[in-house]
Amino acid sequence: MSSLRLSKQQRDHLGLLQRPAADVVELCKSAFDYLINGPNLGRYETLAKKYSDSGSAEAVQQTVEALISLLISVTTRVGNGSVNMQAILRQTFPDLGDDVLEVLEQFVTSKRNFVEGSIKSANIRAYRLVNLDWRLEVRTASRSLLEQCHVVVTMKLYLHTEPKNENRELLAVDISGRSEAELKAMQEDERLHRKDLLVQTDVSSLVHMIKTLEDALAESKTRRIRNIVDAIH
Amino acid sequence: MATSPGKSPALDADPEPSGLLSATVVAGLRNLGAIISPPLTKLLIANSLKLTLHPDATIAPVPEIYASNAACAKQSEYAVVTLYALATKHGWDGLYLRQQLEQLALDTGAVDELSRVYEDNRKELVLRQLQLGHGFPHITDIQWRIVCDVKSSTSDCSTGVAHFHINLGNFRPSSGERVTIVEFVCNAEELQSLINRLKEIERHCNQMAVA
Repeated sequence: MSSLRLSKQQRDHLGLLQRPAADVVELCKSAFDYLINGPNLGRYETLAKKYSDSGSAEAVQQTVEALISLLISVTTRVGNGSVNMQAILRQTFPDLGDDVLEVLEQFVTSKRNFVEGSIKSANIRAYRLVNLDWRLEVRTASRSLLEQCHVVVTMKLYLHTEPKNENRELLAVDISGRSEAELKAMQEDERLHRKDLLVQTDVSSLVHMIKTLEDALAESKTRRIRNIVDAIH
Repeated sequence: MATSPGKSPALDADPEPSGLLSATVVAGLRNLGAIISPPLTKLLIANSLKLTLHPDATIAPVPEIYASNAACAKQSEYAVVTLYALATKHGWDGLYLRQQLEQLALDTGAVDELSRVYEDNRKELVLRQLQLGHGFPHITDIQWRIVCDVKSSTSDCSTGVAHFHINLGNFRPSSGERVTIVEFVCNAEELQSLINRLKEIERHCNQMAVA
């Protein structure tokens, strides 16, 4: 297995990995925090002060971002779990000590599922159905028809572009103790990725929908489809 | 006042010509069979009904309707459309419509034709007016496709599972063209839970029908 191809800039940014393993653990933790909460300049400031000999807050941030980039490259390159991650990392970073490599291996493997779900569908952000609320209604009058008795099923579809359930759960972070600007940014993000839609249908269309969806599900379980999916995988 | 079985309940409360029809409409109706000749009246009523039921329909041009008294003909078309819309809205039956028209001192032939056409097309008029007005997008059709990714710009390997693209939509009544209301993606597990949820709704509908 060949090493990962990293640019000169990426390697420069990962310069802080030359520090002791305990410091690398701190940096990896900051990278995890970045995945969930975005950059945290205060934290980078503190870390930079700690490494007074070799680094500014900016350097720390660049390292954190380069670690995320590393996480993404590893996940993109390595499809299944059968590869020797340690060997790839050793070849990529021949000058790092065993203890640091171990920390890095833990870092890239522990969040792989999270990253995998995101990058695999990141290119096409289709909406997923998250939840469905429904209400059975009888319309008894309208402006154009005063006497009527029309049964309708009103449904609210909750759609979200976030690709995987587990990622949505990770995104449901504790909002207490956050600044107003942070909350606003989170709401904005929520607004961009969510769509709630009200639709209605009648009972016979509903029955037709169930039948059609059951056909789709049954089709996906046929040997033909299974064979194709297995072959691609 | 005795009520005959076919009469609308509104008749008891309001024996006078209902104040629903404006002077313009009444004048338009009075043109029928008078200024507008009986054969043209028949044609005009048929065209007005067609326009009411199918607003996008192409009506064969009948220049003679407008050859003389074009303004009267247009007023009459407006009157017929209004009459049918109001009669449908208030749930008038054919007899009640006839009584209303008779009180307006219209041409007898015109009253006969208006009543006949109304009775013949009452169901269509009700269905048409059921579609009017505010409502959430109505789903009547569902399409699906099963997709499995092979490789993408962001990942070198497949996710290894098939996904369902579900498209909910309906058909435009006029042209038959399909309109997409919403499209989303789900995996087998999510699809199963959607089916279960829809079945739950169906079960509740059935319970309500029995009760």
